[in-house]
Amino acid sequence: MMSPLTAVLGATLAFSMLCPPAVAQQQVVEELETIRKSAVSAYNSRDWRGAAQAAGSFENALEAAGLPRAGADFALVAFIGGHARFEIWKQDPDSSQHDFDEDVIGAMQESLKILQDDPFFKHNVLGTAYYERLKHESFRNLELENAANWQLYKALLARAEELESGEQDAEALDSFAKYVLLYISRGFEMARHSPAPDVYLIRLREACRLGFGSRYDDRFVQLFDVLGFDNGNVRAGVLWQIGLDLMNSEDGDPDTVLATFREAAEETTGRTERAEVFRQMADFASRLEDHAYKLQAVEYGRLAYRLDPANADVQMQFGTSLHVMSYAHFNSGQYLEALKAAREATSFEWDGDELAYFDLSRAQANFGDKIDALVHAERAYDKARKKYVASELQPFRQNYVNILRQFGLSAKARQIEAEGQGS
Amino acid sequence: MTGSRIKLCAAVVLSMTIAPLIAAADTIDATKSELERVKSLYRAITSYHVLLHGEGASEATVSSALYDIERYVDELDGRLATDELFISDQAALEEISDVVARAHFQAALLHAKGVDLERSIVHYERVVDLLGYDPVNWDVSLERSGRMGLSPEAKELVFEMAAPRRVVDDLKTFWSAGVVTRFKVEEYTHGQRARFSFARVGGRQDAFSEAAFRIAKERFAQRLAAGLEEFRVVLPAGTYEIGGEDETFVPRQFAIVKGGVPDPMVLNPNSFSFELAGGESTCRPRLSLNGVEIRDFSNLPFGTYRVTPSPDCTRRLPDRITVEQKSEVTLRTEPERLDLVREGQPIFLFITTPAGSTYSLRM
Repeated sequence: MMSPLTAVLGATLAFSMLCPPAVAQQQVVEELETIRKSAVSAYNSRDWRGAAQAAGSFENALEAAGLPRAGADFALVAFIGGHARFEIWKQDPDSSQHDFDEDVIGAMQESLKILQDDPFFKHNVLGTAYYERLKHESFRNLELENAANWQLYKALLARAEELESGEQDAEALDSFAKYVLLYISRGFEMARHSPAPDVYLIRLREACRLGFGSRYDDRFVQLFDVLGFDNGNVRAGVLWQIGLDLMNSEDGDPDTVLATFREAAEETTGRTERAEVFRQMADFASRLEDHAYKLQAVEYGRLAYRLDPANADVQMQFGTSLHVMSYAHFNSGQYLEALKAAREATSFEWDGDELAYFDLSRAQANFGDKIDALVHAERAYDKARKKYVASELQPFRQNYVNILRQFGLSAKARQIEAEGQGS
Repeated sequence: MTGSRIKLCAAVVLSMTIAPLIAAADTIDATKSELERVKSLYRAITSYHVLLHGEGASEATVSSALYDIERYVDELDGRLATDELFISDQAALEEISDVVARAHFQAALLHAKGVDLERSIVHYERVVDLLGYDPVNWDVSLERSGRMGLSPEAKELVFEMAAPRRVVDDLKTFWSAGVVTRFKVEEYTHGQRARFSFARVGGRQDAFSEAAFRIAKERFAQRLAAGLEEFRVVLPAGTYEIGGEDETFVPRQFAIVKGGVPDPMVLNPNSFSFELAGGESTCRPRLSLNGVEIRDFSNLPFGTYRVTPSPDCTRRLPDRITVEQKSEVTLRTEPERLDLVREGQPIFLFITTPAGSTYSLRM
């Protein structure tokens, strides 16, 4: 059965054979104009299938009339066709009937050679097509990756130029900054999987420059910095930032966050930088409810400490994680584990180690290790006295008093207790 | 009434005076903005030095970096072409053109560092075009290399600046590692050309040579696919072999010497034979084709043969014999009149002969 469009074209051809060339030419022009309008109308209403079909008809009509693939109308329709086919492909990439290279990318490239109006929009669509295709290929196609980056960046350059030469509308500037952030976020994803992650040091820092001075200036500065993480180890920096962003997002799954950080740690080569990733993991895990995460926190803290033992933040994180473990074990009656954790937590100095001495003293007391328990309870109390007063100091004093009493030293216990009454 | 009319006239005169001033200011601002944009693109190009500093860059990093650099330079070329139409301030235009020339200079250097010697030369030629003179004499300071700074998070990039003369010396050093090699592909069908293989079978196995060969191999395949019958490819010194999937294809080896000017490599499925006839047996020469010595004089590939006479030979033999496939046998020499050949002057022999024929050489 003949489609209406075929019938029209057939009639056109038959007519062109019978009529003088000028009339036939006019007929073709009118027909092309009708198809063009139909393509534009479908495109504007996001009827991608209608737009793609109309674009195809336009090309067929041009070819049938022996007209060149040239002119602004052809370029407009070619772009519409390329974009529409991309949207169709995106809905179900595996069942798309179109040749992506030729019918999507090729059509838009062909259009852009002739018609370069609205460059931000067009390069953005083309860049997005490259990006989605790359994503579909699990980020394993360097040619697509390079092209995606350039087209998306070129779109930003074009928009920046438009904004410079037009009115500095705050809303438009904000919206532009968001586009830059979107590109950087895509760039991070590409850098994460790229065989050439280092090149993103330049690509994404150039993009950050476009966002400096915007409402999101702090974010751009942070992203600019993180690209230099671990002496410019971009993949490590990118994974580090993705992990931090996931951690701070409301719906970040803890296992995904930790897995991303772990990947970042594996990529990081500098000892101190790697220690910082492990420290962050320990901090994150220690704040999660599940006991298994508390155990992980200790392990991450230990890894960080081994790499950077002189770092006060690392010491504190490791020490705190051990304290949390010792405390939890003690409360659940696992005194030996509590003792082991407390011993490790007092094997090095850290800001807050009065907590570790507190844990150690009561664990030792539980095993009847009188002298050590007394020495450590006193040390915990002494350290705490230099930092805390009143209610914050009270647990340390009470622990010392309890242990003194446990070992029959009531007089000393009363004396220590009395110190508290005066404060 | 009169007063207000005067005021109105004054306003009109004033607005007529101010309007061109505003227009001129807009133009100045637009030109200044354009110059800033062009400089910003140039700055981005120089950043790529950091990636190509030292020898640690992976093949993927080099190829991505060079991809970006090419796009940046294209963008600058496009801008300059448009600016030439719309910017009337000659000084500003010259400044923009200078920035674009610098960008091509950087592209030449970065491509050389990325061992794409062919593109490096193309960019250098563009610098000469833009400046209109030899860049060696250019009175500017250029980024010669760059690396990450030592500040926390390596926020700064550090550049070594140098006079163009110094950068040109760098370029020449890079270029000398590559040799422009001409290929002539004859008589093969499109399908056969697509099945050619190209391998590096000898030579230094350093990262530079290997990377340079990878690029050359890609270009070789591209030019074959494009159907070119004559093309050039820049190759690092070494020994190469061209093969084909076709059983009848006889693999061809050739050698490229650093600093040499190689004869064209003729790829033609047909052959001819030499027959050395008569003459003193002491003058039987050694022949080599594209750097590889020929021992059997039958079924030879077309091309240029270098002739090395034996030390005992007292007669003058041609230095080179170029044999091309043609339907008719012809012979010419250069110089045309051999009796006028001066001492030390080379003699070239040019022969055309049909495929499968035997050409008799009397030496």
